[in-house]
Amino acid sequence: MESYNEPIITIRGLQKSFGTKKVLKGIDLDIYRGQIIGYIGPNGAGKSTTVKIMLGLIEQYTGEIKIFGKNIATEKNVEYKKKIGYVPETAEIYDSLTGREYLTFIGELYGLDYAQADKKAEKLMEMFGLKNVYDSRISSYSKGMRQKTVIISSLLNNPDILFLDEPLSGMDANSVMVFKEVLAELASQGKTIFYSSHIMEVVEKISSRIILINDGQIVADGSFNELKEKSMEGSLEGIFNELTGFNKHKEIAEEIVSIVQGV
Amino acid sequence: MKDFKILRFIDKFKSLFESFGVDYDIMRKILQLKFVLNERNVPTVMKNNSSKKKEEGNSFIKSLWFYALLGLMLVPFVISKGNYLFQMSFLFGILMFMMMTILISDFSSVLLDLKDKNIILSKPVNGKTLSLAKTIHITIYMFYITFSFTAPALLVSLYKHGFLFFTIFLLEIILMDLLIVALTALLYLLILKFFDGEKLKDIINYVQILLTIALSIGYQLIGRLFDFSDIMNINFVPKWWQCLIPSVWFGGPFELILNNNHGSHIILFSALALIIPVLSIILYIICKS
Repeated sequence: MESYNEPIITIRGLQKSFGTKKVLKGIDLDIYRGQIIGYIGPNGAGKSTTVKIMLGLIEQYTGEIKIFGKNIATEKNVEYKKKIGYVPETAEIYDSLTGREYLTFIGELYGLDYAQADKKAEKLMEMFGLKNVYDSRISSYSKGMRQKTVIISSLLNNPDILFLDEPLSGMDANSVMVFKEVLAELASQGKTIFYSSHIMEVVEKISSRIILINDGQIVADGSFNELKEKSMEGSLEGIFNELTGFNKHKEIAEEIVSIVQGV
Repeated sequence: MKDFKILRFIDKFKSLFESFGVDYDIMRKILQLKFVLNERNVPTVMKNNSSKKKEEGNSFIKSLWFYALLGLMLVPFVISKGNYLFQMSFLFGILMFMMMTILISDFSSVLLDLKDKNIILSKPVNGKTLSLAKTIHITIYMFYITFSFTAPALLVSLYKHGFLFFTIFLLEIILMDLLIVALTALLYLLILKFFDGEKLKDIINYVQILLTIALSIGYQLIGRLFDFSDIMNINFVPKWWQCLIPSVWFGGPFELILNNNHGSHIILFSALALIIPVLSIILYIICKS
C-alpha cells in the first residue's frame, strides 16, 4: 500500500458558479487515506456540488482537483472512477430492473465480469437482509431497500474512496448500526470516506474529521474535539448553528407555531 | 439480462465505434440496459389499454402492431395516382407529426435522462460512450416505430406504383427519421445550454405542449397549399413560404422523378429533402463533440 501521508484527494481554489450565482467560493482541501470526513453545511451550501465535481458529473469549474495524484480535468480518461464508490443524495436507480440486473450492470460498468459481480452482489444483498428480493423489480422495493441497493452498488468495486450523500435515509435502526460499523471497518483498512449528511449526531459519532462548509467556503475543519475546543458549544449541532450564524431557532419556532394556531 | 438480436447486428460495427474512441463493450451494456427498460416500460399509446392487469412480455413489440394499425390511415394517400406532391406532402405531414409527438412523449426521458448521468457517468464510463449509446438507442426505436407505422402504406405503394415509387418512399422515410431525431436532439441541446439541472424537466414539459400545438396548427397549412375549389384538378401555386414546411420537401422527389416535373420549386423541394436531414445530423454530431 502507498504511504498514508500522501493526500488521496487535493483540492485547490475550487470555484463554481451556476449562471451568476457563485456556489463555491474557493475550496482548499487535502484528504488522506483512512479518514472519514463528515462534510456538513446548510442546504445549498455547495456540498453536493463539490462531490459532483470530484466525480466529473459537473464540468467547467475553476481550480484544481487531484484524485490519486492525478488532475481529473486534464486526465481525459475516466479510469480514476474505477476506485470510487458513490451514493447520490436521491437514490437514483432503474426501477424496472430487478436487484440482480441492476447490481450486475453496475458491477460490469466498473469492469467486473458478470459472475463476479453477481456473486458479490448476492452476498451483500443477503447481508443486508434483501436476499429474497434479489430477483424482484426494484419498483416493488421500499425506500430503505432501495437505499441499501444503492449502497451495495457503490461497494461492488471495492472502492478506495467512497462518496456518501445522506446514505442512511430510509434505513431502519438495525441496518444503520451495521452500516456505521462497516464504515469504521473500511476506514481502518485505509479507505477514505466522504460523508455528507444533515444528521449531526451521526456525523459527530463516525467522523474522524469534520469539514463545515457555509456559503461556498470552508468555515471549520478538524476533528470533533478540536471543533469543540474552539467553540463554546458542546454538540456538533450547536457548533453548526454557531458557525453558520444561526441563533434564531426559538423565535422562528414560536412564529411558526403561532401561524399554525392562527386561523 | 437477455441478449437482443439487434445487438448482435450492431456488434458487426464494433471496430467502427472503437475508432471513434468509444468503449464498445460498455456501450453494448448500456444499449442492452436501454432495450430491457424499453421492453418493460409501457409506451404512451398503450397506456389506456393495460391499466389494470400487469402485463409481462415485451410491451414495446405489442405497441408496434398498434402503430401498424394506425398506419392504415396513410394508405388512402398512396392509392390514387396523379398529384404526387399533394398526396405525399400530406402523407409526410401526418407522418412527421406522429413521429415527433411519439419521440417527445416517449423519448424525452431517454434523451434527457439526468438519472443516466448520475448512475452511469459516476462510473468509469466516458461521456462519448454514453451519448452514442443513447443516440443509437433512440434511432433504432424510431426506425422500428416508423417502419411499423408506414408498413401498410409502403406495401400498398409497392403494389400500386411499383418499385421506383417504393424505393423513393423508403429512402425518404429514413431521411425524415434522421431529420426528426437530429432536430429534437438539437433542440434539447439548445435548451440545455441555457438552463441547468432539474429545472430542465419543467421546461421540456412546456416545450412538449408548445411543439404539439405548433405542429397541429402548422400542418393545417398543407391543406392551403392547394386550391380546394377545384379539387378534381388540383392546382399548385408555388409560394416562398412553402419552403418552410418540411413535409412539402418530401413530396418533391416523387414529382421530380415519377412525373418528370422539372419546375424550379420541385427541384428546390427535392434538394431540401435530401440536404436538410444530412445537414442536421452533421450539425448534431458537431454540437455533441
